[in-house]
Amino acid sequence: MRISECRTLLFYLYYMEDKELIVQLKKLKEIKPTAKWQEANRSILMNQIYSLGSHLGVRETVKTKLSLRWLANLPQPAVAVFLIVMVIMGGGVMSIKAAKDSIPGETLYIAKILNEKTQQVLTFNETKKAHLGLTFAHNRAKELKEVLEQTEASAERAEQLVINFRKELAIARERIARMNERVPKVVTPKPLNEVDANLTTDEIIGETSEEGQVFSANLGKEDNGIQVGEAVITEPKDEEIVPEEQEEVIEIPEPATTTLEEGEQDTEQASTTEPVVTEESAGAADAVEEAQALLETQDYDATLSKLEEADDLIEQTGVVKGEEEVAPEIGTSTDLIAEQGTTTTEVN
Amino acid sequence: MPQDIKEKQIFFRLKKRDKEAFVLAYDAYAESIYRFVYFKVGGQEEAEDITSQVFLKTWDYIQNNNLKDYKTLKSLLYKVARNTVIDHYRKESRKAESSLDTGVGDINDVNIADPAQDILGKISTKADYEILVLRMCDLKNEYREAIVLRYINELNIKEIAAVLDKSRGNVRVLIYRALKALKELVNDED
Repeated sequence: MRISECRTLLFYLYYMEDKELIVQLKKLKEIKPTAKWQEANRSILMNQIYSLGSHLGVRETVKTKLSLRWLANLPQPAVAVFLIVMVIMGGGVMSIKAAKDSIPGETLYIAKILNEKTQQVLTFNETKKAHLGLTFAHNRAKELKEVLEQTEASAERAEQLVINFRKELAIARERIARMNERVPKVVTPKPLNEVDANLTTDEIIGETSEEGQVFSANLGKEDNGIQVGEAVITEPKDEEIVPEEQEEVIEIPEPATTTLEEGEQDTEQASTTEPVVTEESAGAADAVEEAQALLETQDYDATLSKLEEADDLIEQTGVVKGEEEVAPEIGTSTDLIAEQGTTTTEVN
Repeated sequence: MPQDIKEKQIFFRLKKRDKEAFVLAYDAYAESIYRFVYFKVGGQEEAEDITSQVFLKTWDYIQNNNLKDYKTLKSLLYKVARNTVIDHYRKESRKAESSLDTGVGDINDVNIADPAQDILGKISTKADYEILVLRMCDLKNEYREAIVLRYINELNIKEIAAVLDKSRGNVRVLIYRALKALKELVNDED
């Protein structure tokens, strides 16, 4: 027998010996706890686990509920991005809040100004823009007052604030003027036969009176050439009035030919396209002027209250403007009927 | 369902402190933990007590920790079992020593789990079984532990390495030496 064969045989014998031993060892798996003990211990364990759970203190329970362990189950990049976004957003909101009451010379003042500029850029409604302009002018006046109240008041800062205040006020004035340049709808009375035939004149009159109220805001502005209501309404002719007893169909003449003379029609068209200045917006413009005058006299409290007044007027202007836009065409034609005195006659 | 997936499911639920999952874990590992403890302490009653403690301590650990340090439930249970046995030895060092070192002279001193199970009838011969159990008790604690984990409870090298806090290479060497030592003891008996 060769040496290599001898080695293989010895290795095989050794390996077989190991194998047998391992087989014997595996049989020791038969060592188990008794089924009875296992079952009893299971019950004890369950009791203890459930009682341990219920006896957790309030502090532990709150700690468990509020813990951020759920974050551990999320992918780490997602958690990192979430936290970064939260920090940036939270930081932004907090710094804007903190900057709200800052005055020139403070670190966060620049954040306040930036916030104001951003608001201005992101606002598209003219009324809101005017409102913002007044708010910012109000802020400048307030800052000026605070700066001057400080013992270490800097003349330069105060001067700069006055300049800024003027700028803001100029912008606000411009906005108010733009609001006034708004062109109202050209009021063209429709022929009555286009009006819903189912409407009774009583109903129409009801609407007429409301519309009359709406337009009344523009009445009395003759100096500005606003005569929307008056231009349309003409005195009824005697032959056009239908007596109730006759119960005839009203023959409403074409407004352009019967209610207006040719020469007057041009005037009316021209007058309706002219700018409408409400009392409120005019008042706001006046209040702004007064605020500037008051600032020049260094009466800051009065300036602030005047600006608030202007702001209130701007808001009211916004409301009136909304109402005007709703004034329907039908209103103008019914005005005609009202003026013609056919109050009780039914319309076919 | 494969055993691995089942185990992972249980472990995932345990991370959320699921009590029912812990009961399932008990059902799955009570026997192997008992056996591991039994070969360490050498007595049935002690093994039962310690096994109960192991599961309670594990539940307590799960309650207070996020289980990040453990990749499997098995490694956690065996680690808790090892530490509990060490605590047990510390408390009753003399008693434990006597049960392991002097109690090997008579087979009756080694309390086999349950006589009713008729273990001896299930293995080849009574002599082989007796010799093996006795020689196991003669082995160094470290070797005995390695043999129980590898050949009786059938953990793989990676799992044993996690339980014993050793590298896989060290575990292979340890198992080789343990088996060699046991073989020598058995052959000496012959």
